[in-house]
Amino acid sequence: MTAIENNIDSLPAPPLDGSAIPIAVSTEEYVDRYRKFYDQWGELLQTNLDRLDRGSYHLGWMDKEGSNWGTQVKPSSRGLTYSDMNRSKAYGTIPEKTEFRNFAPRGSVRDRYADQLPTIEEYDVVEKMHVWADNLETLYEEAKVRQWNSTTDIPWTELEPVSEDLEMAACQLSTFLTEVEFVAGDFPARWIYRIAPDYFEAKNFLVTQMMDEARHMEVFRKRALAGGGALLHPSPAFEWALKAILESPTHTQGTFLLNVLGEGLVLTIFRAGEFLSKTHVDKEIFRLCMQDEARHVSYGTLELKSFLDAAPNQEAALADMHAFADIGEQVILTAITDPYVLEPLAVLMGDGIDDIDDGMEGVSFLWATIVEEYLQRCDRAGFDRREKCTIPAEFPWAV
Amino acid sequence: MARGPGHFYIDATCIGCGACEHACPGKVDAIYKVDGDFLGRFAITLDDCIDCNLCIPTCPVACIHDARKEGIVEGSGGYTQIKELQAWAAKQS
Repeated sequence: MTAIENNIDSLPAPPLDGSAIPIAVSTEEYVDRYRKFYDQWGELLQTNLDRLDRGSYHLGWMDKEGSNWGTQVKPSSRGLTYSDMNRSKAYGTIPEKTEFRNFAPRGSVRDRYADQLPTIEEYDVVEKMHVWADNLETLYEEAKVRQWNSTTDIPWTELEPVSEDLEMAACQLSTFLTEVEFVAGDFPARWIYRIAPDYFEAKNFLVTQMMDEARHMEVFRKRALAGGGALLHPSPAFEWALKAILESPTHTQGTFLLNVLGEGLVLTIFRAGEFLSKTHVDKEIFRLCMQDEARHVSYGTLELKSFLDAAPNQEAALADMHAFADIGEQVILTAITDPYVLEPLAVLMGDGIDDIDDGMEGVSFLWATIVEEYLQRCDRAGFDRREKCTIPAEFPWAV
Repeated sequence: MARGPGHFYIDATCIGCGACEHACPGKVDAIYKVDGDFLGRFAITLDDCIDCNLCIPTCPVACIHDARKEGIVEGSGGYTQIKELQAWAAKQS
């Protein structure tokens, strides 16, 4: 037994009292797992130690064979963007399917190490069509440029008092939007880790989406409290829709349900923000959130297009997406027919609880806009839902 | 520096995602966010546009057009349907 193996054997026993950080495997399982991998990483360790012991240099990292040495990427006047980087074939060739399920950067000298590199089993989204969108790089740049801060960019001190019914409606809407923003951040979180690093542009964009959603969750939580109101009632109907989004079986399907249908709906509400807002502070919140939301909808639309364009069996892919959309639209319909969502919108549109009937008329215009915009986005993605859509085109409200 | 006039324009159905602005080559920089537009839409400065066509494929709602091919397109469907809501709201106030 080598000194190294002795050291491994003398590692302290893992705590079994439940005090360890609760991760997917226990410390005991983790240690066992890495003992089993010892044949692979232990050999590397022993080789390295032997080399150091001999006082010998390796200098293999200076071997340019197989590298893209000499490819100089040139910044545009905006700076050095991923689009600039990806103009070179060496770095901008995005594989349709990747074999690399590890951290070796795309474009590096990695082929020769393929047998030695570990495999990250959780990197199981290995096809471009499941994550890519042709506007991904540009949206990422846009996202970085237009970050804002809900702490300082909203003029909170200028929030004017409104009547209690209007404040309650604003608070209920903020509560609902806080719920929505949670899932809009958690859904990409569920997938970023699974996307193979060769598609790092998608991972990076999804990180900006998570940051956007964190900021939206923050700003609506703050809005609910800033006027002296409160966070009001969660919407059970909407939460079923959010659960359906989070548990979508594929990234493309979940992105369709979240970014195209769900966030598309929220984008339309934000676009109507100038009629829903009773103060200029609320208007500013909707305006800033809307700009972020537009990027997410944009990504979702072209990601769906990318998937449908590249699917090897397009007929089967379309049939599968339609089956998914059939149920997806129904859970979203469950959500948007909920009084905890519709009624505050109507009170804000009508300018008070006494004029809620007028407000419902305004909501009917909003509804028609939501459905038509959704269908138009589907059209753009090459996913014709016009004959199949299960959400009524007109607001189902008995006047 | 004036380079145009170009022939590309963005119709009213823009959703304000900004993909076009970043697709526009840095030295051209012909696309800008319309100041004060609540809907956050973008527009093209024709004098700066070089008709390179890089912005069109990135638009998720197909709201950028080449006037030489399509003439002037007003935009239609859901993205402009909000005009009905705007008209309704204007009557209320």
